Amino acid sequence: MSTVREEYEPHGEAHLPAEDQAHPGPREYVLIAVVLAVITGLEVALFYVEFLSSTAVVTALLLLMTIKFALVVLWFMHLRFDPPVFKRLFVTGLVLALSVFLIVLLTFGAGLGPAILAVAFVLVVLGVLLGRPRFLRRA
Amino acid sequence: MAGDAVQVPHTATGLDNRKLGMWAFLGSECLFFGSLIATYLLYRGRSVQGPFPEDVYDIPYTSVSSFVLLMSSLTMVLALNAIQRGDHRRLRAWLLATALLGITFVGGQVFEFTVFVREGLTLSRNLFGSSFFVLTGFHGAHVTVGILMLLTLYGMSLAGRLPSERALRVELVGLYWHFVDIVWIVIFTVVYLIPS
Repeated sequence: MSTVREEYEPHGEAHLPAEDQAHPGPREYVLIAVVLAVITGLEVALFYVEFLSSTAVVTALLLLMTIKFALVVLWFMHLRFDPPVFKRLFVTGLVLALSVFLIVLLTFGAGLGPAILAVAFVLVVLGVLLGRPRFLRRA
Repeated sequence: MAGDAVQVPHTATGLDNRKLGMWAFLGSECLFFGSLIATYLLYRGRSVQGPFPEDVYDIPYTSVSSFVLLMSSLTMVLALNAIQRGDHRRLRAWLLATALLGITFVGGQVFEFTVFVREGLTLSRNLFGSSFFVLTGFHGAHVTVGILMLLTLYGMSLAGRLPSERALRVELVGLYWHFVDIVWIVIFTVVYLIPS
């Protein structure tokens, strides 16, 4: 009996959407969790640092936040291994949210230049990590 | 998932619609929390009367709470790994651990709110109070819903109604749980750590 998939994809496996790649094992998950814990420790340490300028602290905190976000999304939520359509759905929501967020701050917020630049930076990093452009896929 | 693969051919995309729906839902949740975080940032530093963030925040305490929620993501993903391997004893252990870590986080949040209210910060006190309680309160409500889903999965597993063929149910709850974790990752940095 033919399935719906066969009706749409008569040529079989080669034309099917990418199936789940093998997910990581417990050891990799624990390793990711250790990295997340270390980054959280670094974030808290940065909060108490006095010899850095506030711009440097904010930039570092946003960078660390982005790394943590990406690690959870790519490994724990398996976006790195699952079919790209899930990634596109999520990134669409994320980019829309950040765009609205930027427009609101630009419209109503005064003196938020560094914050807006930082958020734009986060947006670019997220786009690169989640979108996995061609040049990264080849590597 | 191997167990759910039998259901995949029945969709035009070859993907399970429930998982597709969950990712679309999470994408929409980005907009929901994005608006709350944007509101908090917009009102930051504009309160005309205290208490102000620096008067009430207890960073070491919140750091421990954040660590607890972060580690619950690890136990959640280990629960999914267990059911995919057919290890139901470990599945129940990790599900229960995740729920307990979530309860610890929510309990910590309730305690934090109580302390803040005792120090004079209420929902209607100033702009900081309004935006802070709405943002973190909605996040806490999401965590509470996640805990209920985890306990439901635990009960189903105990009753023998969660075979490996239904691993996708654990995966969907896991996606939701990790999402509330990444929202907290953003809140912890943007709300608590970045000085106003």
